[in-house]
Amino acid sequence: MKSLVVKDLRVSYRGKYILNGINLDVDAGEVILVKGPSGSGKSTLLKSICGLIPYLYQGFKLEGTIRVLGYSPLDALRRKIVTYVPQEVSNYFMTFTLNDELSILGVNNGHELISELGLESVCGKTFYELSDGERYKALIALALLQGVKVLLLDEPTTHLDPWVLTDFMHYVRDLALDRELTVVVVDHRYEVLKKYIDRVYELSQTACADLGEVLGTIALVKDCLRSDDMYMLKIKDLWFRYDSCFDWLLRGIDLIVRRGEVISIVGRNGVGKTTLLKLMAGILRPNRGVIKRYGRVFYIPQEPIYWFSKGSVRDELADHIDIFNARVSIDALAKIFGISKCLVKNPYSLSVGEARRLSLAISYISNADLIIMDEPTLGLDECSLRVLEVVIKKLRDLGKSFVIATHDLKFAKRVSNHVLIMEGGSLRWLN
Amino acid sequence: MGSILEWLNDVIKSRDTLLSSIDVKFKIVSLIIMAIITLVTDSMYLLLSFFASLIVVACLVRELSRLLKCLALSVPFLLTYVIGALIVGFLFNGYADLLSLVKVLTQMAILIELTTLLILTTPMSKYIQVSNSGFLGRLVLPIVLSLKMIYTLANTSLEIYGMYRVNYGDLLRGRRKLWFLRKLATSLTCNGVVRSVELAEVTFIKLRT
Repeated sequence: MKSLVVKDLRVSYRGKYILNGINLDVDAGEVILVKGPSGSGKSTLLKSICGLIPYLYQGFKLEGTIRVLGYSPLDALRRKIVTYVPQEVSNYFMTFTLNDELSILGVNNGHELISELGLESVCGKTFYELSDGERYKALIALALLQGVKVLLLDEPTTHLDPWVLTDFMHYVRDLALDRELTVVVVDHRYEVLKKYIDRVYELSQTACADLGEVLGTIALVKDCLRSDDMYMLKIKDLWFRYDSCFDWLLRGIDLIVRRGEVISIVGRNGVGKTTLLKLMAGILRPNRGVIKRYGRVFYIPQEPIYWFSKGSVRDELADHIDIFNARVSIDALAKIFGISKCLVKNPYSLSVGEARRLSLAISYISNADLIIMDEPTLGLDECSLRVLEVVIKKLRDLGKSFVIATHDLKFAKRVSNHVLIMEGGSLRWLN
Repeated sequence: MGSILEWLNDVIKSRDTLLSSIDVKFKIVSLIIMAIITLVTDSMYLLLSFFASLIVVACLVRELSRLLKCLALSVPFLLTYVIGALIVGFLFNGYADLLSLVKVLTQMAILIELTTLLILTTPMSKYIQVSNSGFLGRLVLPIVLSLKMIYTLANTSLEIYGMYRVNYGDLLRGRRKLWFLRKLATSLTCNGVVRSVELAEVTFIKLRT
């Protein structure tokens, strides 16, 4: 019997089809990749397979057949055959620690797996203290400990650093073979995952924007830069920890960001990249050391939906153009950032990739001198990634500076003047 | 603003939640009240607040026993937010119009109260539907989930406030103070709803037995 059968699946919301005629056959022990541009319905497909659509999201209409080991999605979920590991991991735990979560789910024999995944040291920590990668691994450990047969992974590469990702995907591959576990991975990064998967399913193709045209459209949204300084940011001997009972997270960091420079910071999950960015932006205050900012700073967090307060993408852009007094048209912006088709949509109903592109557009409108980006590639498909690269390079040439924290080493190398690696609370140049 | 209202309504109604039991009559009455408020106040944010309060009242009437627990849990949270809102308000001195400040703070408090109730209601109602683990389980898990949600929302709110202060901080002059507060209030509310839906998802996946 096939582990997963999807036959002529059509999912619509308010009469508009998100998925139209999807067919999938997956055997036990197979790892398949579903790829497609952002907004093509990849997450919707996974949510339909595990029964979230239409049983939790009742406004959706689902036609066609889904069978998980012969059961309907809801039956499969009740029997704990299938589980879904979502894209946004920060809020996907019912309790505060991994130990509590195991207790509440009645799992008593998890020590071996927890140890295999390298999670022993984090079992007693609150999930807020863990990095995204650690949270993601904890989610997968919980799923496996409940004995699932079909594992649905939504964008795993975005949450795991390149070092952990290799180990993790090897582990998933081995699990699939040893336990006859069926794994459906939804992700943009085929190149990274190709050696771990058996088959690829492409939801739909998208025409990439003309990069030459994008390049020609980008200009400063105001006539001049706000600051004439050569330096945008200076950090001297920065030390930081969240509480005096914890170890130092950042130890004596020195960094200078010059005008027109792009600096990328890579490093393992939980090493303190986001904390450093927040210190640079002024959200956190250092325990020791000095941070000097020259010109205006704009911070783009990992969660793109934090921005939005308007009923449509068009209104959101118009509001920001007005408040920042920017000289740019909404249509030109939408074209650059590939959100023309989303202008009438509510920002909260955008896919992660679309929301991220909207947040990038807002940062562009802001005309800040230094733009600090936390994982800007998260959720972006290949076309959007290329556009982001072009936008950053063009703005860099126009005198803007960027500090980027990312797991995507290739992207970091392509776009940056310098790539730094963060280890043990310090920064060093990456050869 | 209208479409944000629609979205909130959609999110609440389209999920398998306690709040989806609100009937059509209530919707019509609330629409009439909303129209009157719009004409009188010309403030869409105030409208949202009233609409939110009406939903809460309807829920209280229809599902009083379940919601009493939620309400009791949400009181300290509401107080925290009112104090937070006051601090945010006083950070921006020089309000020419004190009434505007009071209005914005009241709106924020009402919006946040609604969010709290939504957050507390959604996972609780899911749990009540799926639970078969006895009295203790029914009592403990909703409280754990509620505390978890309060903690999550507090963290999210701090993140959002920090980000807004950095990105829009130097724009806060004159009428833009109000813009900042309104944007912050709406963003906090919407993100609160999103968080509640996320917790509903995880509750659905983990506890539907």
